Amino acid sequence: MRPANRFKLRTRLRDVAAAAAFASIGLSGSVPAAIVVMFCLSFVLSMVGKRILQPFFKSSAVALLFLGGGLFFMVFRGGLDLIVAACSFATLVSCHRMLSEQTARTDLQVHLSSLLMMAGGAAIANDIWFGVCLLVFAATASFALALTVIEGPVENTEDVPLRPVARALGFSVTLAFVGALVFFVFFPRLSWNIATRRSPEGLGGATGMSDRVRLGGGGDIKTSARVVARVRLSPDPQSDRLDAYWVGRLFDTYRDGEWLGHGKASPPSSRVRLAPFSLGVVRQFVTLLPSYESRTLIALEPAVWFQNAMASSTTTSNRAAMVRVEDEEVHIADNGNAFTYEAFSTDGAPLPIDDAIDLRPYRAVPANIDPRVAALAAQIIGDEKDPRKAAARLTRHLQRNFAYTLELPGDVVDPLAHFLFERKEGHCEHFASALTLMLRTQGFAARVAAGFFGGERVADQYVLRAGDAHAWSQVFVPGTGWQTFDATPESGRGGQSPSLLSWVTRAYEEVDNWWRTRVMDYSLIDQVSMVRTWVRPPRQTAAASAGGPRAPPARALGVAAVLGVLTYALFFVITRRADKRTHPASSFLDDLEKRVEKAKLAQRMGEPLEDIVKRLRVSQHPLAQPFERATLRYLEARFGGKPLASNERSEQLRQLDAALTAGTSSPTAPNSKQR
Amino acid sequence: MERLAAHLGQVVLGKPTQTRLAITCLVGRGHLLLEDVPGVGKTTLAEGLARCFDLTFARIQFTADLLPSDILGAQVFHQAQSKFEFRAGPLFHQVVLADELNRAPPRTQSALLEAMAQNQVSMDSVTHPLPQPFAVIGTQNPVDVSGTYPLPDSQLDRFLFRLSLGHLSAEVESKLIQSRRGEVTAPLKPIATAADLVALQRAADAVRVDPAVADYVVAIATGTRQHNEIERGVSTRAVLALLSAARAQALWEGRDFLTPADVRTVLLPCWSHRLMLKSAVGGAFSRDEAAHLLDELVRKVPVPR
Amino acid sequence: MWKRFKAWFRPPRQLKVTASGRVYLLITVGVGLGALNTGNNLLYLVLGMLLSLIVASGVLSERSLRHLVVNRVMPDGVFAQEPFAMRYEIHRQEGRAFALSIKEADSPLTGEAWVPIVESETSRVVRATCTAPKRGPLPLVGIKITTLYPFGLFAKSRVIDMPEMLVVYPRRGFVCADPSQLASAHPGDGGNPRRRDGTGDLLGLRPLADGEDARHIHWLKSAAASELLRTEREREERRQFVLEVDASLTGDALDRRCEEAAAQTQRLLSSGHEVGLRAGPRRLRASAGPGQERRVLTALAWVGFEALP
Repeated sequence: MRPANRFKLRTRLRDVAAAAAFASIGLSGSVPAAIVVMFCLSFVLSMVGKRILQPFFKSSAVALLFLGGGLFFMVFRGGLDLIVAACSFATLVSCHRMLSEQTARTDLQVHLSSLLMMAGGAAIANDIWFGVCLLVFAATASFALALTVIEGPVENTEDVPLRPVARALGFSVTLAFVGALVFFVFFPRLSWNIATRRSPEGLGGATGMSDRVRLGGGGDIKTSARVVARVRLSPDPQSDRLDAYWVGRLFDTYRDGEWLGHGKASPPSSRVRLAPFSLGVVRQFVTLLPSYESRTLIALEPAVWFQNAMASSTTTSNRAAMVRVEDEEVHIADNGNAFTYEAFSTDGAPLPIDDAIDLRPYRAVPANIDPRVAALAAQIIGDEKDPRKAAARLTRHLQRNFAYTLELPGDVVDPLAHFLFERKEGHCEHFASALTLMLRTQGFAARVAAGFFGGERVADQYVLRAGDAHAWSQVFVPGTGWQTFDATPESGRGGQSPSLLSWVTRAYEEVDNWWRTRVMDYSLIDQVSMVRTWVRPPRQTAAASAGGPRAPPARALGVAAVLGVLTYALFFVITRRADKRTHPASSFLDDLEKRVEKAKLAQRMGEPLEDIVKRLRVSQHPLAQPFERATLRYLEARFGGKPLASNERSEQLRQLDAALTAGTSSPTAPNSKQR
Repeated sequence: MERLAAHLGQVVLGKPTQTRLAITCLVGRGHLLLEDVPGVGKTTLAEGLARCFDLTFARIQFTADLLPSDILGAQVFHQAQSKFEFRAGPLFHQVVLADELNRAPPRTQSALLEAMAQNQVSMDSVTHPLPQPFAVIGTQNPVDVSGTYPLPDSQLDRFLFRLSLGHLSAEVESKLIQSRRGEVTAPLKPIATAADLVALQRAADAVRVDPAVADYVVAIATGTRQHNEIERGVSTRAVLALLSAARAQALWEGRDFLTPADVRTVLLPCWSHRLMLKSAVGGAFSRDEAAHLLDELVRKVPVPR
Repeated sequence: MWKRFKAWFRPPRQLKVTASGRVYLLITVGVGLGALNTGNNLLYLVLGMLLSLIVASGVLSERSLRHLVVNRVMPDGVFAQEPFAMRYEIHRQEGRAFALSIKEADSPLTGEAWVPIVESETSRVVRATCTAPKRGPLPLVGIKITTLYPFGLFAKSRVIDMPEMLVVYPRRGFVCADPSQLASAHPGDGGNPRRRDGTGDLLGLRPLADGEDARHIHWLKSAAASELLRTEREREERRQFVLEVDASLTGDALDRRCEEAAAQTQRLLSSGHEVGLRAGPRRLRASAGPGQERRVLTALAWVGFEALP
């Protein structure tokens, strides 16, 4: 490749590597927005080739120092995590170097600071995207480094074919990946725990679960596909979608447009009993992921028992106590960013409750409620006295006459009245509140439950996403207990998405699941058990391993392949873009050279086509004649002033291809002749 | 031309490349400088070339006491008619073999200059044209051999090619000593005429030069002028010479246009003797050096494609 | 015996960490400590990547250095403190080599050759612009091939033994006076005091004597004078000089004298005189021509280094 193009390619690769490294920290969302903007800006500028800091090298270096100082001052003030600050500083250094005069030295500096970003990213990121970034970074950075090395100590103006370099490097990078995996799998996980980092706050996106239910406010509710919990059920229902209510928190008091709970907390204990139960319960092994961002336990409705709670931070996993807040929620008492526990729920049937409990809070209606609410409720319910029938009527009415939307109403004085009489559309919390309060105006006992609706099967588990968050109503039926009524229209329950999107999210989910179980949570125990299976293979492995979790999911491989193809395509585009030709006959030469390579004629470095043809003619190669014809035609077109007609070119290539296939189908012929 | 090369190959054994280049040189209207130790077939090649084209041939043995008039001829006073008469020297032939050119002092060597450059001889304000086609084939011994003078630069610049024959390979040499008896070039019959050579030269002149190739040649020439180890880069005459040689080279492939490969083929024989290197002592040392430098230069100049 | 023992222990490859390689190692150690400390699996992953890139770098650089055949192409004339081109022919039987830099091992020669890529079954000649610090024979032991390939983190080198002697001529460009030995030099053309039968410039005309060569007749003038006149030409001035280098000199003084003698030789030879040399036990017969210049220069280079083989 020509030196100028090689230089351009090297720069592009360097920038892509830096971008990959930055993405590894940027995707975690903890980097200050200013840094993100700065990096994006300098990436774009560098890609277009504007090195704006070149004339102000010294002053910009001083400014960089000040920025770094500012960052660490923020750390000192406690406003920023140390590692995030270090990564941000590395990013700033990268930006500065990318926009400075380009030499081999600056290239190296960009790569090293990108490597620092990558290392920092390992500490603060945990997504599968980190793996992707690592791959892209390693591939592009090593190629760019190799180009720098081949460039040599002096500016090398020779033509160097890059294909052999790319081949050798592709081999080495693959080797490095395999090596990294082997190291990863076999290096014993012993953590010294000398200084652990406090778990970063504010990681991850928004969740649908919160401490209170508010009806007002502006903006949209995001339907995030982010997984917040994973649950394994026993007995396993085997269905793809569970479509069940997972209750987390109950609310009894409505005041000024929001629901609150007023339970009394009991002392922490290792197990919590909500109600007596017998056989026929569903046992759930629940993992609340860091993205859940709350400590409220969830379980299938109705939950009766919680036990074996564990709180885990990035490094450790400890037993945790649970606190029951009467008639409101159960939460974990300890800190941690992920929790696991077991929950038991009865099979859907409401729990039998003695009628003696105090139902007054569940019948309370706020004093300032719009009188139209009661009127509307009375109009719909009529004189129905059975709470179940009354609730069913209201539910039907709400579902038919009101629309579901994720758009929030904005700040209105009375969001409930606004929903019922003006806007006539809202989200699940509006429906649940309306149903509950309308029942209460007519003297029925009801409350709002918040949690999740859904449960999508991924591998052998069910996952709950942030977008599955939901709210619904429970109505007290004398003699039976609390019964669930959901006034939200079907379309609004949970986070449903179009089928293609759902396929993509599911595929992503599987890869992500694999990433979490096999990479993030890989531990010494896994290593020991793996070694043990090798040393003493279990007897019945054949049957178990066939369907077992060991086999990587096919979709994961598919996604990996797609990613690989995309990376290659990107690389291809970059390479092509950097290698522009001018003369129309040159692309014909490219095609010819491609065929030379296909015929395995071993083109030497810088050997022109004419010489290859001469070589072939001397050795009486069967392909000599067709190649000679095509080469002559190229030379005529390029230097002889006889341009190729549009169809002539394809005709020539077609003839050549025909000769090629004929030559490869009987490859022994020329050899035997020579002998 | 292929026929010629094969024909000439009968007497000049084991040197196909040099033989072809020698023919290229004639077709490119150039003079040829053969440089090697004595006895490797320089004279045979020169004589063979002349015979192939059925050209008149003369051989001048250069010695230390050779005078310009010995080559060019002299004005002879005809006493009977009381006027001067020009007696033509051995130079008035179509192919002149200037044997051991560097044994004569520089002054004598430069007597050839005008003849080689303008194909004419001026003497005492009378100009005598030389027969056409005209070519000088000079041979020279390596300078290290004592009693030799280096050729002046202006003289070197007038040779289109400088070739070195080199020793024969073992098997060719053994074949040669078994078969060779008596007069070497005697059995060689002419297979072409002087008119054929002129036709070939015309054909070479008609070869098309693409602007891209011209730029390529100029880029290489500029490279020699900017190289920090070359005292003096090639002259414009050298660039013209290279192009005419390359045009002749293109005829080998039966092409009527020039490719960069043609240029590269003739570059080394055409330019390596024209470069004046800084490291050279009196222009005498470093003959491989120039070839190396040119080779490195060609690698760096991007080939048009 | 001892030599063989030492050779046994000499490592076949030398490894040097470049500046960027040091930073890389530092980062690797840092990431390693971080991984061990926190047990963060991603740090382990990055650490594995970093370590295996080091291994891959070792494998690739080894592949680059293997199966290399290197030959020296010695320069024609080397003058002290003047850059010259040392050339190396690199050949590779199989596989490709990338980014090689070639220089003399354990030698005061500065300068190295650089080749970005060597293809299999082709040979390539690359040049190193070297400078020899001082006059005299310079023994070359071997060729050191270094590669930074693939990532520029480590410089791996290998030495190919190739003993050879490079003769460095005295420094050039030394302004010298006319040789003081002029008086003691033999005058050229001893036999002919008139020196009028040479081949040099025209000296004059005189009538043609009997038996003289007709080629000397100046026809134009003869016609004008209606008498056969012949030209007389000056015999070229060709004298013999024997330069002397005092063998008792040492160090800088000797070098100065050698440089002076070399410059005088060059001047005298280029104006057509014959030059000989007497330096200690070594004598060189006076002669002319460029060949003589090399002989004198070589002899001057060896003055003071007679002990070397």
